[in-house]
Amino acid sequence: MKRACLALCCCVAIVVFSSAGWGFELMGKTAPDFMLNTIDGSATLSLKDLRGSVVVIDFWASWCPPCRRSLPGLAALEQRLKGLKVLAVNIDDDRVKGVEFLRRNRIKVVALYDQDKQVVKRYDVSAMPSALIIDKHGVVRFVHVGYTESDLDQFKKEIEGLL
Amino acid sequence: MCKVTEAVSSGGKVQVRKHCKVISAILIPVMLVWAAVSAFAQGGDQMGLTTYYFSDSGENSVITTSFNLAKKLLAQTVFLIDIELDQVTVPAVTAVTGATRPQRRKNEPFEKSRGQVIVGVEQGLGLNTTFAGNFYRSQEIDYTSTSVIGTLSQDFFEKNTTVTVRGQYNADDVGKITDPGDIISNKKKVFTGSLIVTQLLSPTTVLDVNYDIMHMKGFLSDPYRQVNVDSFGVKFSRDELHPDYRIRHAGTAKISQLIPSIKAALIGSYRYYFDTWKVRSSTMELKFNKYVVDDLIFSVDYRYYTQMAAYFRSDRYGVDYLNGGYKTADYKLKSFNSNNFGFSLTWLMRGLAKNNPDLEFLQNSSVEVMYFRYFNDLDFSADILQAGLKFSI
Amino acid sequence: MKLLLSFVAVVIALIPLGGCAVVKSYEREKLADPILERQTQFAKQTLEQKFFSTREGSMGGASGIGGGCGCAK
Repeated sequence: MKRACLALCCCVAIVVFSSAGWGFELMGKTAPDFMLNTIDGSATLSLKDLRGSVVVIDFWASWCPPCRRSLPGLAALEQRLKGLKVLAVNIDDDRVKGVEFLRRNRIKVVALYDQDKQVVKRYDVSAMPSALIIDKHGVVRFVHVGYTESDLDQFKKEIEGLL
Repeated sequence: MCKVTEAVSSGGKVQVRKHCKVISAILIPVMLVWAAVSAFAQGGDQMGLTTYYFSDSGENSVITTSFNLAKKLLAQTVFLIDIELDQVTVPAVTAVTGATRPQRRKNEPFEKSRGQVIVGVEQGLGLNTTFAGNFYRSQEIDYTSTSVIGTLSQDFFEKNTTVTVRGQYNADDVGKITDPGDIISNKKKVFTGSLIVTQLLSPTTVLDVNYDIMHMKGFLSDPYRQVNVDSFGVKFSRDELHPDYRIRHAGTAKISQLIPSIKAALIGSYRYYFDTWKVRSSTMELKFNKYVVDDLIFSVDYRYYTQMAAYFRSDRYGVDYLNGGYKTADYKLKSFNSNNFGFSLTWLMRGLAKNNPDLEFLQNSSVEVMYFRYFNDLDFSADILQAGLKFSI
Repeated sequence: MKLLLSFVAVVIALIPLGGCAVVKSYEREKLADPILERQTQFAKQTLEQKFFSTREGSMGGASGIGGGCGCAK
């Protein structure tokens, strides 16, 4: 019985000391600037260019099931909230997979392609999808790791508070 | 006890039907759930339909159809249901499948149905922890298994390490259909504990380590099997008698290595097993998967198995009934080695979805055909053909 | 019981080693490839596993759920 309790305590300790979420070290700090091409290669965009707008940076990939749900939700929010810009940063090894995904799912959002994964490394993303909400002054105000449909309401509240 | 009636089919086979209507009790909910889910499935839900046909050269065959649904109820709560139906046919001679059969029908082909339901809830607790509770029920004419399963899964180091602990309690009813058509049942209880660790070693390499411990108590024999006893030249049969207690241990290590340069993967595993009946075994398996073209995977598989016999296993039992009177006719408890070679082709239907948005639902569906050749040094061999369709949205 | 606790102790001791080889979430595209046969939620026995369990005296060691996905729900 004693040994069983000891084993159980070890398991509980492991659960308690497991790693915490990502991105909270960026909260309140200026979001690292970057310049990326759009996924179709037609333009180049820099984060600094969007100062004055509330920006959501969403890191996503076509192979990640929750990512496939986050983009349509964020695209719909961008349509509804004036002053909001969504940057969907794709990190697929093959750019074509990201393009095909957007086409198949009819998603209209500014999609950037992080070919060398430099931006996602700089932001040190720990799980996919991950989203940061940046205010008009370029400061990271909210961080979301993972995505469920119920998160969209939270996104809307946070963004409206910054607009 | 449940009454069993018999009917002779036009093909000459004898079918045993049970009045409890197990199959219809499962089929109707399956069809209702499929229709309901099709109407209410939303983003984040997963639904799958799988059907497999299995046949070996011993004329044993199994048709398995399963339906599964993972329905999101809340942000981190998922309802799970899995329903499976097996239709097993064993031949008249040398029945070597696990399907039990009424002793009096051993000289005729025998068909048997089995239904299985798993329902459960999976609850996320934060980003790195998942808890799941499942209820399992399997029913066939003379065997019922009911179990509850609890699983706790924890991620570490940005999900590089996943530790899963599972506990399962089974209460089984081991039945025997007697000559008048009644079923006599015996009880069996099984506690199983599992510990699984998954560790990413590199962006292309995964290590899985698995340990299972199983504590079995109750009726552990086969109610239909008899052993031959030779008592000073007088030969007769007795029901086999296994110990009513068994603890089983199995530890497995598996490495999955992706080889991107040749669009292939190599999966190797080793399992060591031992139990309180002194059965010990080693299993080594190596599988090579390769993309032939985009969306078509060819696989080659080899498995080697070696086993030492249970301590009470004997080719002949005399009247003195050594080893506590335990005696077995179970070929599975002998010493033997076996080899298994397999080939398979899997077609991933995602290619159809690439150029046609209306076929997006085929993104996670596949068709698989598999052949394998099994043989052991107990003079048993089998050619197995398996074909399946997995439909998942 | 001793054996189980020894195994648990070894596994717990090995867990910190996972921190030495961190594969970032954005590096896991290849691990999502179906060619690696990572399992899903339903850890049922495959037909092959059932076939072997009806012919061999061993059981277990294949109840792995799998993991390693870089995705957060």
